[in-house]
This record gives sequence, C-alpha cells and structure tokens, in this order.
Amino acid sequence: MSVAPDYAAPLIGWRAWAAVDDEHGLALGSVVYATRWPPRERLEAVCVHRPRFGLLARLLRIDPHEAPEEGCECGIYAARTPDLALPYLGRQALVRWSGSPLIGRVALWGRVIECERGWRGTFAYPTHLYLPRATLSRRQGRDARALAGQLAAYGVPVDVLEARTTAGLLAELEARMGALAGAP
Amino acid sequence: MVVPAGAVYPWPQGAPSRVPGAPPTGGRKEGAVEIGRPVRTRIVEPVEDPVPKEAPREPVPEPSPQEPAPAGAPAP
Repeated sequence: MSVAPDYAAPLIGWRAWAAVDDEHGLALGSVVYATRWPPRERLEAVCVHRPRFGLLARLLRIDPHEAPEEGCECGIYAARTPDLALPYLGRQALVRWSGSPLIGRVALWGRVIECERGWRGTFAYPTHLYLPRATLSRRQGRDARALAGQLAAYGVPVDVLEARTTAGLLAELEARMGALAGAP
Repeated sequence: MVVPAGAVYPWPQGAPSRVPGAPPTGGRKEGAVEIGRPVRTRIVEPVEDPVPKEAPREPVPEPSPQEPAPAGAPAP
C-alpha cells in the first residue's frame, strides 16, 4: 500500500561539509563520518547498525530497517537553522580526511523524520554551498574562488563568504538568505 | 548512490564509544547536528528531482557536405 506524500517539494536544511580530494576528484564529504557526497547523485542513507555491530545489535534489539526511522538515529541529518550547523565547520578533523570546510543548504526527501531542530532524511543533495574564506588554511594553499569553481560540478550555486568570525558568518548567511527570499 | 556500510552515522544508543572499525568519534552526542528528538515522520516526494541535471552539451554541427561545383565552374 502506498502512502500519500505530505510534501511535493524537498525539505531544506543546513549542513556542514568538507571539500576533499580523493581518488575520484574533489567532492563534498560529511564532517563526522567519512561519507562522500558524489556530484550529480543523490545520497541515500542506510542504517548500518545491524551489519556493523552484529551481536551487539541483536543484544540491543536493533532490527534492520529502512533509514531513517524514528526509533533509531539513522538518516542524513540537516539542521533547521544555520547557527546549528556552523559549529561543525571546525570538525572536519574528526573524519578520516582533512579538507576545506563548507556550510550550505541541503534538500532532504524520501522518508523524513521531523525533529525539534532539524530533520533526518532518506535522500539528500546540496542546494547551495557557502565557502568561508577564513576557514581555508594557508597550509592548504587553496584559493577560495578556484575551489568554488571546482565545486561547480555539483550544479548548485557556490558562494564565498568573507566574514572572519562565527557571528560574522551567521550574519552574512542570514543576509544572503534574506536576499534569496526576496528574489523573484 | 548507496552509502557503503560504515559510512553513515548513527551510533546506536548504548553502544560502547569505541568499536573496532568504527569511526573514532563515537557516542551519540557526537553523531550529528543536535537536531533534537523526533516529532513526526513525513513522506516527501518532490515533483522535480532535486539533483541538478547535467547541462546539455552544445551539439557539434556536422560539416555540411560541399555541394559539387557545377560543371565548368572554376575551382575555388
């Protein structure tokens, strides 16, 4: 039995990424786990509890299921507002790669768990990327404009943010959101 | 694309903070943006695919075959 959809357009949230170079070229990567977001392809969530933890999952009575599920924590995450995603700009060191941090808006669709301050979805794709110039280290030697040009492979707008503080970045993002809302 | 096993959070509730082969971050508090508790489940089926299509490539015009010069005409 099919279920009537609640929305006919994706839900839009905020995320942080790291732009990383790997054997397949430059791509977005999640900042907490080593998940690669390929250009021009939707990312699909899978719950890996059972295969990863085997006996432990069985002991915890975690049954295999489609991601996301309300009783689990799986799914592709997005925050409702940019201030919740901004702290993750500094966390790219937690993943197995180090890359240039980005923040941006992401579309979620499929089964989407609506949470108090964001969502967890089945499918995701970025809709707008923001590259804070201040987060590019001199060691990386990256030019923000050139990097933004490379990220154009995703087929979504890529803007360079000039603010140098978290508060400044948030103000710049909110100003750009206001400009987007006012666009025809 | 389907994310390979081990590449997507979450970390299960109650799991130890370090499991061989698991990401070093560990712990549900570190798993993702703190988006709070689930409220409800929505089914979202976009009418338009949110993934941008590749820009169509400009067709390369094929060279038109040159018309044969009329008999007796001077060569170009």
